[in-house]
Amino acid sequence: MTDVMVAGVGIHPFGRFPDGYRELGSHAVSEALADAGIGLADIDMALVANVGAEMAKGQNLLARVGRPGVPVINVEAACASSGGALYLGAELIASGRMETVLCVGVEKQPRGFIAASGYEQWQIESGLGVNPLYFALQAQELLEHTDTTVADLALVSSKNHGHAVDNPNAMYRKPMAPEEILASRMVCPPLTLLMLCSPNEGAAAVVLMSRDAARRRAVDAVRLRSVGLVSGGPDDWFTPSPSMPIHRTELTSRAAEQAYSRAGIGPADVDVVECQDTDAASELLAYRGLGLCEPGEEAALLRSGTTTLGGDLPVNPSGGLLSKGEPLGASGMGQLHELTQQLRGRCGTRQVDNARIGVGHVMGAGLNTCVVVVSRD
Amino acid sequence: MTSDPQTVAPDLFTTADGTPLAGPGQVVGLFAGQCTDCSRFTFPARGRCPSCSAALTRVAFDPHGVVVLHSAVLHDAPGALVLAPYQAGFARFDQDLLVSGLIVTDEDTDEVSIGDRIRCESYALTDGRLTYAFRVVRNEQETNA
Repeated sequence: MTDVMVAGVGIHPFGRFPDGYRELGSHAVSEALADAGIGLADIDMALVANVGAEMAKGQNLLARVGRPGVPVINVEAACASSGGALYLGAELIASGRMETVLCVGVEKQPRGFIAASGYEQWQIESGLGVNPLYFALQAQELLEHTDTTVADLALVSSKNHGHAVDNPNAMYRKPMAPEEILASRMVCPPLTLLMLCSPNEGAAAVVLMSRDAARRRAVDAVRLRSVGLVSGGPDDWFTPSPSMPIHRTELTSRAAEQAYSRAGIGPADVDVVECQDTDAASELLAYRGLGLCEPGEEAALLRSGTTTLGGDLPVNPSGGLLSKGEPLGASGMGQLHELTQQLRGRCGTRQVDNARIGVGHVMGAGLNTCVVVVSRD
Repeated sequence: MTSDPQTVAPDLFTTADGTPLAGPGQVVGLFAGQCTDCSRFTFPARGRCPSCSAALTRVAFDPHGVVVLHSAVLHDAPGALVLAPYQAGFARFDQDLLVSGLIVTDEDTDEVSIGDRIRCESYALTDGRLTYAFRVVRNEQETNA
């Protein structure tokens, strides 16, 4: 097996823009290619992650940059679409089948509740096809079974908004006090508006290369050590499933076990994390699922400051989805952009000291979940 | 499989006493699917067993359950035929299955708590078709009715 390297990254800021998805995506692609020191003609394949655009989206997007004539495959796995693209790209390179694969994530998600998350029509009509409702129920379960409080949920959001102040790619860059977050409009109790991320628009791109190719080109590459990817098992639960067993497995744990095992590391080795903070409780649940703490210790880890920039294990130094917003197909690629720049030491005032191992985590409808591990060598 | 034009989807629930479904407020039992091989339950009874892919047989649950999680939708949701605000959550049934559903209360007892006992009732959507909801019941006699 060949080592897989992240040789270049590019991003179009996340937010709201007049341009279409082709412009957003081609911006990120051009930046990633330049970062890797290559042209589009140098890639062996492109994998384009997106949820809501038209057919042949990847082909249409890349045509703004050029027509390399290599395979272009579109990948969709809801909010974990980027994870699917990275998984396939990494496997193709690790197997020796390809040397350079361009992975792109792009989205122009309409405002408001995310529609078409896989609910059956009867669920939607019965008022049960509402994503924030299920995030709220997860949050309530966390509050009920641990010492987590609503104030802790506000603290998560406040932390991530604080991180985003220095991230030019984030949608919201204003610091927010926990009191402001608690006082914002209630959406689905216990979650207020500022405890939920905003679906939005953006793009990110990553050039994956074999270690040999990266060495030949002398690029500042980081190693993509593993990609753990799962979809729903019989005892997992997430939207849009209308029923669940009492004793459940955790999607994030299953993906993390894969990723850590393949990477040959454990959670104690991790220096920086970008996780799926669709809502504030989801970040705390990710602490548990990624093995950063034991079940029941989520709030204690947060309150200790460990996951705040300057702490021992910063989580979402980019500001996370709570601050960047969530362009579904692009969010995972955006995480890898942040982690790569963190490991390269290029994040300026939000730089995590001595970051050598990073973990990214996305999950979404269809019970798709992905965990990636990157390292400085 | 039969299709009842009065309901939001076929084969979600049936009346608990075997009388024809006539309108909202009737006590109903949810139609779960039980695996013909491993006996696992799932709701609704669609497709095959999530554990072993064996065929499902349709089983009507007892109407009574317990609230295990609850929240509310405070703003109208796209496509919903229920006017916000409304409450929803998961209820646990005897078969150790948690099912999502609307939660309704009597007007004078709007508070819902984890552990509240519920019974399934037919519930009218804004277009007049019926779905199911979990009605909180406050006294033992009513629960066992």
